[in-house]
Amino acid sequence: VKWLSAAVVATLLLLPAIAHADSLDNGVRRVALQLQCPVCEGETVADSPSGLAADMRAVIRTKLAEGEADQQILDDFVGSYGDSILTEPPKRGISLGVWIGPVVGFALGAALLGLMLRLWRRSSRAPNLAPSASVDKDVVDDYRRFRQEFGQ
Amino acid sequence: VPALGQICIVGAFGLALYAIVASLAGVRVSSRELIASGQNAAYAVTALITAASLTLLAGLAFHDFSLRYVWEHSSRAMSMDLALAAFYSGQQGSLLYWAWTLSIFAAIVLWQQRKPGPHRVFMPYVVAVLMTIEAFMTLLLGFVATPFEALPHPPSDGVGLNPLLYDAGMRIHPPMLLAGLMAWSVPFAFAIAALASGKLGNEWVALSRRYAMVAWVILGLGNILGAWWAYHVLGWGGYWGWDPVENVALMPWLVGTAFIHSIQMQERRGMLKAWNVILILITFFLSIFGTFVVRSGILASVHAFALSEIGPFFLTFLGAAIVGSLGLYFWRLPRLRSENQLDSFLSREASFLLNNLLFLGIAFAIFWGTIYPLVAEAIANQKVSVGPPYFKQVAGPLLAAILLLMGIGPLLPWRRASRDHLVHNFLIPVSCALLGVVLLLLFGIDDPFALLGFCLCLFVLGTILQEFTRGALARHRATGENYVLALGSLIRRNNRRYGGYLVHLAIVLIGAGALGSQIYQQQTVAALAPGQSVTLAGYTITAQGIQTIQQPGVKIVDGVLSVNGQDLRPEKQYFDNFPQEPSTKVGLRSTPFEDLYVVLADWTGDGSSAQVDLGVFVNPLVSWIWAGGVLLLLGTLITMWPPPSPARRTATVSLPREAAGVSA
Repeated sequence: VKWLSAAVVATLLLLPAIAHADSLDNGVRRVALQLQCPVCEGETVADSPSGLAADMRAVIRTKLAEGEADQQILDDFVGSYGDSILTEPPKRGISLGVWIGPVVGFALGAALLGLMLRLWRRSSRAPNLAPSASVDKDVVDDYRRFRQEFGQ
Repeated sequence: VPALGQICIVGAFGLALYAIVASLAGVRVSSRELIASGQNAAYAVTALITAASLTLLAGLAFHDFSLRYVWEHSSRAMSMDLALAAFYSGQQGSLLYWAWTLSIFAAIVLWQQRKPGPHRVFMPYVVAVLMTIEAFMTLLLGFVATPFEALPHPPSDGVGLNPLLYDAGMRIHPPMLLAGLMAWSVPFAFAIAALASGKLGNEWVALSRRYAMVAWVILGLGNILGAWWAYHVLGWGGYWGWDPVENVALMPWLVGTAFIHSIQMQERRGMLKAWNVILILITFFLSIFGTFVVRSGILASVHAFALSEIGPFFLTFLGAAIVGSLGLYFWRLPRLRSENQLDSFLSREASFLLNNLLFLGIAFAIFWGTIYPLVAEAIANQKVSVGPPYFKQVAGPLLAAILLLMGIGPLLPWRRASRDHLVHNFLIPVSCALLGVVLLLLFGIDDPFALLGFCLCLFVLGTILQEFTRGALARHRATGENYVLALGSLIRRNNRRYGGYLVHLAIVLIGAGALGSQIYQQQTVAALAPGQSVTLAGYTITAQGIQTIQQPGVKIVDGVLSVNGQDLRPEKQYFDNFPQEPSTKVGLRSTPFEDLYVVLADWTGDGSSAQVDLGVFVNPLVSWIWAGGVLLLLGTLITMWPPPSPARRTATVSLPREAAGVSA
């Protein structure tokens, strides 16, 4: 156990101390990453090589330098291009549906699993007279696990 | 020559239809001859499609521009390996590649399962299913999107390849990914065979598992290689953009992951029989859906270089496959009863159930986000874009939960865990994680997501190391082997278990790499005249103008840089055929802990006096992702390795192998 934790410590010591750097460039990238390039397919303003994206980055840079907040800049772009300019679909209007979907899906899945578990637990309390085909296999599995835990 | 390829494909279509009819009729009238004839027809399909593929490859290799496909996708300036890679770069060619891989998989399966045995009952159905998919592919190839269309007046040179695809990654990422999608057909075929034959015991699961592992590792590596290719070629500092085409290739892999875990419930405990069938059906449907999205260009994507009209055919085929397999499934559902019940919520069984929920949850969230722009367009006629932030926010928590489960699951026993057991097993991994958090805080890692993520990674690492250490120590005590040998034979004798742990370790590496590079990426842009420098995270980059190199068919512009005194040359490549679409070659300096990633965005002037515009990124831990990919392959190969010593196995056939081999 000791050498195990020692190994972990050693690995971590090798990790360089990584620190955040914040600058105007990072600010431009931070905002541009939240904007979809209007003339490209599936690229953000931060990554797109198109001229329009470069212009938009310049606009962001100017506005940031003038002290505008990120949200203000994003709102300006939404004003001229509509919601679809945002890479993160807003939680309003038609875009709300994309956020609700996974929540509903996951909740349904979890509910179904819960229901199944309840049914399983209930029927397992009922006496099970028929010998299960895998009883022998269970014994063997337990034996196998036992051997693995306590020497082969 | 074009006619020859076309004849092969039409012949393969006819033979595939014959194989379906002969196999099914053979079962119906119990005729061995018919069944054997169906299998021979399947072999013949493989031979014909191979011949057609070689015809196209020869056309590409010898620049036969009388073939439209060769003219559209290659040029004389392309080297031989690139010209051959053009085989799968366009739509018709990639369809042919799909048909070819599928036919080869079919032949391999038939050959491996040729001996008599209980599995033989599945084979006619397996042939019928695989040949149905093959018939669909050859139908498209022969009559809708043929790669052998002739040009009446062959031009002297071809159009050439999309510049994005000129890269080493191009020679390996697409074939892996496409083959990975197609490979799920085989475990799917066994599931359908089990439903059709009514033999719904564990035989089909055991047969499916092997082929599912093959599909899983090919598709997994296809995805990782795609990330690697994007990282080197696209020049935006990342490797995964949550692009629709990336997503559709990831979804079958996620559900397939649920399948290869879930079938252990059936193998060990006779549980989840009905559910496992559903999982492999979904995996296959998603693979076909992926094929459809990749080839139809229905979703906006950087991969949209292969738009087409074959989309409706795929959609019809997918619909028919769903209706047909679900019909068969509900007809057999009464026979898919579980043999055992869940004994406790604290058990391996429960952890597998949770695993299924999480993997399906992620797959569904990604599916929903990917198709939602279409949904919104259809129901409200509104344009919605769903970008990376959605996928990160939705998949992130679920991925974290999967990491947690990956640390817990292997430590829970089957059936029921006792309190002592829990303490005995969880003490070390939990301490590992807690100690890790303290150390990370000391190093100034204070981002809550990074802390949580790394903490989970360390927890899983603790679990895996503990399992290996305990196993090896126990073996050392029991057999007197030295530690290294004990570890080796431990893995050899329990290859499924310990190979699986290595795959888990690979996922931890990939997870840590993704966390590091997502959260701690640093970036700057700089316009530098010769002699000027920019500094980022301890790297000082000094510009020395540009250098232009003219090669046959391509003009290469190097940004000449020195990084802390050493040379680094990011490139832009201008292919003569596509002068407006330069491709990027990133200047990369990689260490185990971080990558310096420099993109030459633009320049003004010429030669050593030019001013260069650079994008500079420092991406921590990215190489861990690629290392994870290698380990993923290694671990999967170990789990698939045949069990040791078949001689002893047959000698002690009545006893479980481990029990019989105790004294060895």
